[in-house]
Amino acid sequence: MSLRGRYSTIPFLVVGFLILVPLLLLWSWGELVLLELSSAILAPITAFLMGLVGLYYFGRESLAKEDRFNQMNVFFSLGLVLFAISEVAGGFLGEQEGSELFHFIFGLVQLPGLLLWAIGVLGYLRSSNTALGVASETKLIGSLIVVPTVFVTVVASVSLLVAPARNPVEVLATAPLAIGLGFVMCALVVILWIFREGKLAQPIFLAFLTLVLVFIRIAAWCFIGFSPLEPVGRLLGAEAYVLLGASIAAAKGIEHF
Amino acid sequence: MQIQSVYIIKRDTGVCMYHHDFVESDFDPDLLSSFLVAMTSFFDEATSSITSRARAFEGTDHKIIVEFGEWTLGAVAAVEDTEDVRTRMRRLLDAFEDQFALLRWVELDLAVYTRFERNVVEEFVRDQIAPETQMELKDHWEFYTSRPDVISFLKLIPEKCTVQEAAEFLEVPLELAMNMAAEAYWEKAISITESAKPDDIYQTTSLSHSKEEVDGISPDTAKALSELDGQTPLSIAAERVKTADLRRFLDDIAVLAHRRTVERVSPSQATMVLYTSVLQELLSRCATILGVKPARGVFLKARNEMEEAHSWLVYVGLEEGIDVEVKSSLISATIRGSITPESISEGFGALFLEFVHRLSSLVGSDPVNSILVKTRNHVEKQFPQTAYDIHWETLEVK
Repeated sequence: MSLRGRYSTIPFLVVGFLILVPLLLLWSWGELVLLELSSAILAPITAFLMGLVGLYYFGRESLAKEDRFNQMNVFFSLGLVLFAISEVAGGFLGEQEGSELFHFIFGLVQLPGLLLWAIGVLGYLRSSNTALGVASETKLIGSLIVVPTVFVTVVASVSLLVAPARNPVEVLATAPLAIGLGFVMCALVVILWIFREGKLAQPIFLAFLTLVLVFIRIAAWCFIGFSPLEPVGRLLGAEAYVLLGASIAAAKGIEHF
Repeated sequence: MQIQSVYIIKRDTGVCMYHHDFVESDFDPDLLSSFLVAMTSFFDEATSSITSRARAFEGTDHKIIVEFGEWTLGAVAAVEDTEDVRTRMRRLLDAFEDQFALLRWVELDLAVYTRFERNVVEEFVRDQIAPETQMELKDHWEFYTSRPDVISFLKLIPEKCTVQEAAEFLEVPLELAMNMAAEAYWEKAISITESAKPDDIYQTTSLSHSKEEVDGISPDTAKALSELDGQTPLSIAAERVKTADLRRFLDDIAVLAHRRTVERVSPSQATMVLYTSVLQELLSRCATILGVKPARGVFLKARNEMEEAHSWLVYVGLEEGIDVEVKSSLISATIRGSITPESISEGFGALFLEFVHRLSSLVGSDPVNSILVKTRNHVEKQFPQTAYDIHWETLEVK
């Protein structure tokens, strides 16, 4: 791999570090207002910038082309732009936090971005599976749907039983998001398993880490009612978006291997 | 190959020392040998060149191909002037000069015809006989041959059958039946028709066909003529016109080839088509998982790496996307036969090896091996026999 390919993710990881350290310092100093303000600004900005970088790298090719790897990265980038919008919308909705309307609207604005990620990952998984014949497609997709659905349903039910005071509407509104994220995460695990030995594993692994962070943020909201608009939630989001940017850059770096 | 006659002539005197006609001919070999020697001498004089030499004399439907030994001159009357025919002729001249070196200095009766027959059969006859070759006994064939083994072979087999059918009918090994058929063909007791196989690649000899040319041919085959573009194996052409009877289709093609409505492409061209099909399939699958640009990158880097060892690979490129493009100069070389099928196999073999090695560093060994298996299955459908010429097992990534 050329230098350009090998070190393409480094700037993104540095940015991630530069976001993490100051926010942790603000938290340790007890500057909570500044922390909240910084995280509220950084999360949408990183998502938007990473989305733009992704579109710059991959968006120049037509989506109509049968190039699923390219398409997946374009969908990641477009998803990031939509997540940026949802973060901004979340900021405006913050005042209504705790109301049923907040849960529905915030969940709703996150869905388009998640949907794009799911379309991209699923399309790539299907084409890889067709090219390599890893498993029966019906079984594969079936298990990808069943595993997160069962997991989220069981954990959410348990959380409602353990904490009966929780608003069931909050759980019902966030569970589909968690299931969707779990679905994309499992699909990425399968892709990662297929390409575990090659350099292609690097961008896939980074995308998987992104999904893990976003899943933690949404699952914490769904299972224990921890608001995604808390500074920690937004920090998780910002770090996840930077990691996805790094994943897109690593995917671009494959061209310069 | 379609060879009509072979001549070996002494260059000093113009005497024909050996000749054999594979088809009926009333032509005096001595007349032709004198003509050839005179013409080649004239050519040398006229061009005043030491290195330049006449290489062929062209007729409307066949060519006389000339090759030079140290003291002999070989001529082959053939349909096509290909490198393969020239190589065989050169080997024949070398063998002749070794075996009958004495004839350079003195004129003796060394029983050239009987002693040299084996060499000519090996070079020009044996390769034309395949298990699927259609044999047909000539009228009064018994007058053509006096060899008892050939006579007993021909007496027992049906009047028209393939070599394989003859072997099964007589319950003898296929190799023996092929040797007998070659001997019988040499003795002109049988005529042979080149059988068409699903892997074979044919091209039409003209853009429009007269009624007579396609007379007696099934409508499917007549429709498939436009598919025979020198790039498409017969199996695919048959699939495209949705023919129900592949055997009939292949027999029709053999008949058309006999009428010279279609002709089989050169072995080099057929090998090139096989390997470019494999490359295309590999690239498509690679692009499916890696994307078009990285797939292009993997191919171009692998090709650049191999250019030094196989310089002609520079003429194998990619159009927009991952469509394999073979430059016209390389295509011409394959048509002329100036690049051998062995060189093509070797070059592409090395390219594939480098390609899968680079690909495995990106996606891992298991996906690459899966790609290879899928590509192999696909190619085996298109080229049921020649697909096995590719060393798939060496491409496997451990």
